[in-house]
Amino acid sequence: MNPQIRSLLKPEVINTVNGLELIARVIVEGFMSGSNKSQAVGAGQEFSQYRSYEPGDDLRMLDWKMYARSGRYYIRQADIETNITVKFMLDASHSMMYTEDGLSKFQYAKVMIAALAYLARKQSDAFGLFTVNEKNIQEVHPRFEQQQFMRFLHILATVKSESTWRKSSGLEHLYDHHGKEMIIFVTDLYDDNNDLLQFISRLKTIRNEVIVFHILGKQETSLDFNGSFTFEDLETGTRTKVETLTQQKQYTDRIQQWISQSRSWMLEKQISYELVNMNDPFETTLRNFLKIRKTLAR
Amino acid sequence: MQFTNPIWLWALSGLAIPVAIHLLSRKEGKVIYIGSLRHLEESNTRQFRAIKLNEILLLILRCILISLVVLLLAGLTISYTSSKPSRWLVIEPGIEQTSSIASLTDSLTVAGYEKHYLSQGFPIEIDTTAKAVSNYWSLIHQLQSKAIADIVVISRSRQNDFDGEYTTLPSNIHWITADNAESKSILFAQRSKADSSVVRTSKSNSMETSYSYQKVSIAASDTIKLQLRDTLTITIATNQAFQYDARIVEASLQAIAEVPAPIKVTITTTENFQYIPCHWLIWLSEKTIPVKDKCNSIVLRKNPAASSLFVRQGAQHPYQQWQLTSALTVDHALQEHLSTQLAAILLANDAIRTASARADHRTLPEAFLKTDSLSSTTNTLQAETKSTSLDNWLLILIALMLLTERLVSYQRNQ
Repeated sequence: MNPQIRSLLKPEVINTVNGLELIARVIVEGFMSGSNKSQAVGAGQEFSQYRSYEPGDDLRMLDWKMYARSGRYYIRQADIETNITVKFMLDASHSMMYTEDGLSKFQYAKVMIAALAYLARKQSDAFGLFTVNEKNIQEVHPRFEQQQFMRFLHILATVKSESTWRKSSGLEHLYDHHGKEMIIFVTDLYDDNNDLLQFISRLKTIRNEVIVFHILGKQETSLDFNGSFTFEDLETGTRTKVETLTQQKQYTDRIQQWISQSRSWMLEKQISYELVNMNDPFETTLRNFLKIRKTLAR
Repeated sequence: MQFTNPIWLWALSGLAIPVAIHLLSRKEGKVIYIGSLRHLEESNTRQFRAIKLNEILLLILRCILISLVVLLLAGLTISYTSSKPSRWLVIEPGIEQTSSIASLTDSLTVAGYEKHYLSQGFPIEIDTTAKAVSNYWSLIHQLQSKAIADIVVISRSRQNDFDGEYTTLPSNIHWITADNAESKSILFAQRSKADSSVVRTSKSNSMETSYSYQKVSIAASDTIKLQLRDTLTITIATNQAFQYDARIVEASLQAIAEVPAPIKVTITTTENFQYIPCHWLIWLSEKTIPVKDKCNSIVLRKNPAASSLFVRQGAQHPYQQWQLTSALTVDHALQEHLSTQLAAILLANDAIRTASARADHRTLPEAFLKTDSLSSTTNTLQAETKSTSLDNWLLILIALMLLTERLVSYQRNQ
């Protein structure tokens, strides 16, 4: 991760709207610098270029005025304006408070979502935010307005991770989706009785794209503690004493198995699964986001 | 074990520190908050017992460390009593051969008593050149300072040898008086005539001592050994006023004249006194004695304040000088045992006196040698102890402990 960005990732920066916006901007502008405006051309408002007619081209795309002037057949091309709705869903259960190097998964997820939302705004997509835990469901419905980003950031900065994933009902309206949608679900995938996976599977329809960003810490993956410690479950509060040295192998095996199981399960459901390590730079995440968005835009 | 600065032992309360630390930090060590325990398993208890044992080991090490430091500060010294058997049998030289005493000493040595001789320094082997018991009291004091739990003393307990201030026996000393068989001894023998001698014998047992004279005829060959004793020449010089006194003195002298030595008395007047060499000059006159340092003298000088009839006076060497403190009457002379006193002065013989003292076998009554039941035995352990400071050992131990403690705790925390 870029040390400049890493130095910004502090609770006092992340938990404010301006700070979050700053981080998002730094990440995205750094990522986007020198890029083309759009990678796809087609029919749209914004003129791009003319090209010669080739047999098989859609005749509707022929520019007749150009034909009148020059007597040749030209196809008028324009940047495609894609209007996608991006729904960010954040797992705000307390297990997201797992912290490594002073940065919790939840904060990392906030920064990631802020950066993606900044990118989405740049792409003039409508974006919304849903944070879910047992106690609260915060919603910012997808819109494309100037104020939307601030509203979005405000909720993102103030949301707290507590309790567990929503077990009771109240999630039904989150499934209610229409049109081209991109659902970005940021979670640590620690669920209870597969309730998270069920929720994710219900999100997926034929028309939309669902990306699951699975956040894992480095030590969480490798169990890189030496010695015996007491581990406390952040959600249930149960404690267990673990001799990490003896369990490390078994634990890493289990984690890898869990990851590959999750990946294949999502692949079956045509859900994109992205494993995000908390030390990873945000660029990878942004690139994944853009890649999947592109497939949706076509 | 002794401490030079026992006040530092209060620092032992510092032991509470590691105990408190271990009690407070018993909350399962470091807690790591993790999203889910689903991939973790409770480690089996054997390992955790080992961890706890590890902690107890640390606790013990730290406690020992603190105790050692405290002991160092308190100045631990170790004192050990010399490895003597704590029971002595002290026997007076010369009586151990007696059959009854021998059986007693045998049974006591079997019972673990170490045999010593009652003489200066309490030797185990009898030193023939050593002097005999001089004074029991001083020996008792020496025994008392030996710090021995149980002492049995077998002694003749001769009355004459208890010289000095009376003290009660300490409770660790048991005094057994050996029964003295009646013994006879010859104090002196002297020729009275060419073929006969006078022998003074004493007969003594533990209760009483008596003396008697015996006339023994001797062979001519023994005359060399037994000398005739010189006649004691006494001159009584008197004046008119003290003639009566002079007669009394003369009568007294005649009473003692026979034995052991013949006495020759000459009476002269003090006026026109001519000194004739003699052993004793008895001067009965108000006038001062004209001769000096030529013979022993007894001078009449009335002194009502004097407590006894004869008082030593002046330089006793080379000649004795005595004062007769009052004029003499018959009654007075009888009352004061004039002849006996005169004999004690005139016939004084140190050799005979010591011989008679040696022959005196009377014992001190057992009642005087009772142990003092009240005196405690606390003083028995006061002497004969040596102490060594353990500072060096403690320092080494502390260094070792510190090292182990660090090692263990490093391993514990990894």
